[in-house]
Amino acid sequence: MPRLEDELRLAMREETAALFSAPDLTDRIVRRARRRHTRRTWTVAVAAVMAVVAVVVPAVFLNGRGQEIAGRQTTFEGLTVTYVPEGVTADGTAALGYDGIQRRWTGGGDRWMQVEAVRGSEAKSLDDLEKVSWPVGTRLTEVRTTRIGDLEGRAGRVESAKDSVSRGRVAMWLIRPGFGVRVHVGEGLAGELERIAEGVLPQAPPSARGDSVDGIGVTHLPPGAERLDDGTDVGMGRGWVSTSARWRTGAGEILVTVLRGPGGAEASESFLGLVARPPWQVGDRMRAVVGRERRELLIAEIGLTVRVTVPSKLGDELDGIIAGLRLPTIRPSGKPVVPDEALCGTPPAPRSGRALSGLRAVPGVPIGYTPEGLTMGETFTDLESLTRTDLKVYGYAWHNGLDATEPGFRRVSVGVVCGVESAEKLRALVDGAEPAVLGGRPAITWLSELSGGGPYVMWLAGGGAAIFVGGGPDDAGRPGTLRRVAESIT
Amino acid sequence: MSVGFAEFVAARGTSLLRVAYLTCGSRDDAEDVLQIALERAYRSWARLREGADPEPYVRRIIVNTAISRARRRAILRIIPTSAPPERGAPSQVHGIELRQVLMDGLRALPPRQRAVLVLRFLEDMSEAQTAEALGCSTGTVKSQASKGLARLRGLIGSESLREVVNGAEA
Repeated sequence: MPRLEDELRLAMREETAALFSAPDLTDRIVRRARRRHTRRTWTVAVAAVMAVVAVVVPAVFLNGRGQEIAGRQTTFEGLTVTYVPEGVTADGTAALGYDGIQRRWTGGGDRWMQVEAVRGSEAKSLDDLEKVSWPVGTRLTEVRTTRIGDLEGRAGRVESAKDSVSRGRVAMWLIRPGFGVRVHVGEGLAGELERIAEGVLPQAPPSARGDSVDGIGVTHLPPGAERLDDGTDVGMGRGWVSTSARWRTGAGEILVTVLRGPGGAEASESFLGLVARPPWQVGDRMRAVVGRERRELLIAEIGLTVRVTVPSKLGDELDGIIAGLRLPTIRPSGKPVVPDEALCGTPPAPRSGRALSGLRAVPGVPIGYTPEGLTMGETFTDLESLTRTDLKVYGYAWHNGLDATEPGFRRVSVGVVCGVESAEKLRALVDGAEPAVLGGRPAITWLSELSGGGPYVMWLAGGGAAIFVGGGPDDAGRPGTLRRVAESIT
Repeated sequence: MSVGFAEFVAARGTSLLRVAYLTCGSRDDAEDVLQIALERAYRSWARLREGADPEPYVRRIIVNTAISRARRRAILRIIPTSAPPERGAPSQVHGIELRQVLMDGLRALPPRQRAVLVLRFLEDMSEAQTAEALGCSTGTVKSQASKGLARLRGLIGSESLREVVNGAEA
């Protein structure tokens, strides 16, 4: 009697016997990696601009080991660097590191230090964190287990692979699985490594509830803060929509207001009637404004303004709340979505539910169902899966306020692509898409490896428009979301 | 180009493509998943080549990406779309062609069961090695392999298996 396992083994070998990898596979990989590196660099540059907002804010934090460290801290990428040796100063702003985003300080010669925040799969465990993408020609040696405060970590020496010349010392540890820290110092600061590492603290304890206001995550709130409402939406005329949420604390109420509307920072300041001078110019597109008695802080970019108001007694909490805000990714183009229904003909009416209107709807695409547990997030004007870049795209995303690299991140996007008149054009829009039919209309489905990954469906809506709905990676367990959104439109 | 990467792809590319093909179930997907895995390896090549064999790392990405894709693709099947039978329709089986039945059965398995069988029987990996590649326990590997084999056995039946093999030997 033959064993099934043996037959299966034989069948698999026969089935794949004629398969060979392409001769140009290596070249294709290298080209692909370079293209993505360019894209990633852009993302990091944007993240760096955002990180600067937090850097300029003086902070008071209680560290995890019970010591209060006061003064001007450096905060970036969810980390606060509380100790920098004498004579060593910041060198530039946040930038792409080995596997994450890092900041660097220099003091001349080999007195330099850099702190790198590593997120995602590169920081799932200490073993992963230890596999650093060192520059070619260097390696990590003499790795040993150590303690960074109360946390287990690893320390070692970096040396030239060629002649073993030292390239500094390194310490690394996990703040939590998926979020790690690497501190790398030159030999001139080797004796300070432990103290520097112990001074790198998680930025702020995330709110257990992971609150959000109109898609903007509010991850840090004072202990005991209790949410009073679910966010109130107010149409404010002139294209502005305001969404506010309040939390009750023993010292008074905290108010976070998210405004979305046309125009840039000046427009939002003017509209809000804020008289706060001088504003900090942060990067070229974001401004932070501290109001009277240091109770309000406003972050504005094109199309989005966030205002945090705390009672005077909680003035010290303001920095933590601001640092804990999760803002949507700023599109490199920075262009707001401009409703222009004429571009795509007459929009279809929703089949079920109440159509969202104005800025709360995708232009030309009335939605009858708002994804449960998600709130409105960023707008976007391109779809990376498309093979053509000359088509106009208007989209809106809902998400749960978490960062895309964090477990539990959810995102659903809806949008319209203009200039798609036929099923043939639709099918050619996305490489590898599978043809389908949705509500009797020609459609395509595909999986995107970009933007966190997720399934997409797009169908021909008539009038030269194609409508798409996309899900995030974690929506695999919630197939109903995508289906209900699509059904409410078709 | 990173030293040694081209040599690695030349030496192991075909073997990895075959793993990708069987775990994904289609040639297009397999090539895409292989490229994703190799691209990640390329970006980390400097540290990978310092360690031992990079192949387990690449293979791990391949099988886990394939499983993730299959699960996400399942959502699109739940959406009320009705695609033309491009490749979704089962292949016509003429008579009892055991290899074809087994391959069709393999493609119909849940993605993780499929990956377990590919790693265990195409790659001849141990239960512990398979568990490491998939990021699960050896107990899970055992149960998934057992379920997968049981489903394949159910498809062909022990009598059919005997007949086919006897016929082939005759």
